[in-house]
Amino acid sequence: MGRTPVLVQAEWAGIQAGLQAGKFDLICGSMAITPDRVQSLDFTLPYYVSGAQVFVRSGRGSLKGARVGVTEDSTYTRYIRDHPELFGQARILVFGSEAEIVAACNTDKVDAFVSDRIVGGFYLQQGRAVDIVPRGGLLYREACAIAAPKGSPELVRQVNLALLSMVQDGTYSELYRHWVGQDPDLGVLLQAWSEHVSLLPLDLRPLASGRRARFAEEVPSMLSLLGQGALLTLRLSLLTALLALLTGTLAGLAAVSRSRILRAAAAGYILLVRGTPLLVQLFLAYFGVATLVNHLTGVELVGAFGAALAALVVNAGAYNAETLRGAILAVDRGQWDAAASLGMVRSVILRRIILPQAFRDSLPSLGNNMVVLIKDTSLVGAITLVELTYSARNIVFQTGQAFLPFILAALLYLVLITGLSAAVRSVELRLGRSRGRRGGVR
Amino acid sequence: MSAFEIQVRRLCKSFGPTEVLRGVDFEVSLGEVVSIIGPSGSGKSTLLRCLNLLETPDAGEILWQGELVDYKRMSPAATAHHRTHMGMVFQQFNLFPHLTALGNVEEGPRFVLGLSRREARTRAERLLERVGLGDRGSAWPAELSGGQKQRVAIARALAMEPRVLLLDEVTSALDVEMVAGVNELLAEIAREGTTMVAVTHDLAFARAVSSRLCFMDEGLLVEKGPPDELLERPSSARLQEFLGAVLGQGA
Repeated sequence: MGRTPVLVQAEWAGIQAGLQAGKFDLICGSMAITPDRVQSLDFTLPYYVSGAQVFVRSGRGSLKGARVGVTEDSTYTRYIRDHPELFGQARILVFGSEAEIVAACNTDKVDAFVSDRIVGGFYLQQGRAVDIVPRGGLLYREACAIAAPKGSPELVRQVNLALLSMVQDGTYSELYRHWVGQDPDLGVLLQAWSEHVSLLPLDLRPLASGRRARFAEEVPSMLSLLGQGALLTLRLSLLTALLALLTGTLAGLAAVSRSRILRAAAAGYILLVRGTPLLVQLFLAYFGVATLVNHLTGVELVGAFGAALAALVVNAGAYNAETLRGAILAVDRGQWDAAASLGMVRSVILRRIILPQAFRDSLPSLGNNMVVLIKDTSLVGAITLVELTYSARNIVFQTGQAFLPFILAALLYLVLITGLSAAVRSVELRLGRSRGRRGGVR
Repeated sequence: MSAFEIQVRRLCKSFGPTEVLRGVDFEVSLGEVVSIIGPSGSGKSTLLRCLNLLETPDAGEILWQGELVDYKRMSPAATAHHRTHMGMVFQQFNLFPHLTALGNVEEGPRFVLGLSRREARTRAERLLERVGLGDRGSAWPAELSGGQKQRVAIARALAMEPRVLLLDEVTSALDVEMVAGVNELLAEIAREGTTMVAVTHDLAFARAVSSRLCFMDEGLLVEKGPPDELLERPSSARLQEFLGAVLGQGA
């Protein structure tokens, strides 16, 4: 083709939107040619033929009621839903990548997964999948091709010519052997070419216009999907806020304790949590702690929600602890003197005199921590929970529309955060009376 | 049996390299009002704070009603109990800002003496009445004037029914027009027979209310005696100098 490729790594979720927005010219990512995609993309000739393969933990019998892992936006989700005779009552868990699915399978979070035969086989071959075997033949065959923006026949023609010459001079077979570990079946590839010849953009087709629904029709259906995600976000946020306040109070008290051991423990906790990203903590909770707990108890005690809740509570708790520690230390020394002179012991002084003032003084900061927490819940999609942000991304996969779902999600976040902030603010104002002021600084 | 409520012998206390108390002997008898005067940094407040163990002395003896107080090995609970015998009023009031005037006065009786909410309320109302704030019970500290705050603080200390009242420069932070009222209240309480130890800069108050006056300087109790005698015929050069400076400033 006489061009030097520039590799752009993009999230699968936004890859079509990125192509349409001109962020890159071609998608080369095991994208199967499907009737839906043909509506919005131009495809080259297939560059390999593979298919959907079920992989199971060895010893697993029927797939009915199994926990089945798939990647985001995969055609497999639809296939599983459309084939209850195979996958009746299967619970579909959505992961960001095949690597995570294999990890989830190794740690008993899924019983089976559906993946591209070649991609899944790659993990088996690498020995990264423990006790996982392919089950049965291909569910269906897929021809994977390079996708170009709708209406770019010249680009597609150039890629096709390049592909053709690679097959002819043996470069294709050489690459295939190197990466897949076996010889390509060129007969199957040629067969696929002949099947997909009709897809080739021989003329400039106008942008598919028929599938654009009207704005007014789209918003309500999107909102109902987003609403379900928002409910999960709200539930997770409220539970976490409550438990994190408790955790933060205990850790904050430990941080100002007279016991050196307690102080060191609190300092270590705060250091570890603040020094590591929440996303890493979520993965650790999900793949590590939850797995361990489930293994030790022998039942599935901690699911994705439990793991997310634990990680968020531990995380937000550390920030609350630091806030409260500062507020406790900031309470005037005279308050300790006055309380002690009445004959109060330390625990009573803390409970009756110091903590109420520390809470009152740190309410704005605690409220701020809560707002950060609500936004942090958008990360739990990484461990299969469909919260608000994830719902928005799902809509993007389904509709190919990138802007509207995210705008609606942003508005819903704004509503959630404004509502909860107002609640905190009203408590602040109520307590403000003891400071002789309402709102402003005198 | 000692006749003293509190007695200290050779009391020493340092903050880092600074020796604040350098062997103080001091005692208070039942019903007495003792005022401690002296220049800033002479150790007056530290002596007062050692009496109820807000500061732990480095050396020396403290006797409470003739009994040696083992301040180095006391449990936190025993220390707290010792403090209940002595009510303290502070220069900066130190009212609990998150509680109303009534709440401040009720706090000790309820959470230290274990009185019921109703008993504590009755006691607090009576004491607020006594300090002239019967109508301000529901006010927050931030809504009270300095004089009113100090009256609430006095009521709060009295609510524990202490044997001794410790007053740490209680009028120093007040506006001039508030001072007389608070002094008058304290004089009344003194006349009722309450034992008091007052650290003060207010010589007029010391003279009018005290049965005995102590002069401290550089960590030592330099001179003590009846107020009139000490103020009119100071025997030590340091006290003469101090009185000269204070009275000269006032004139």
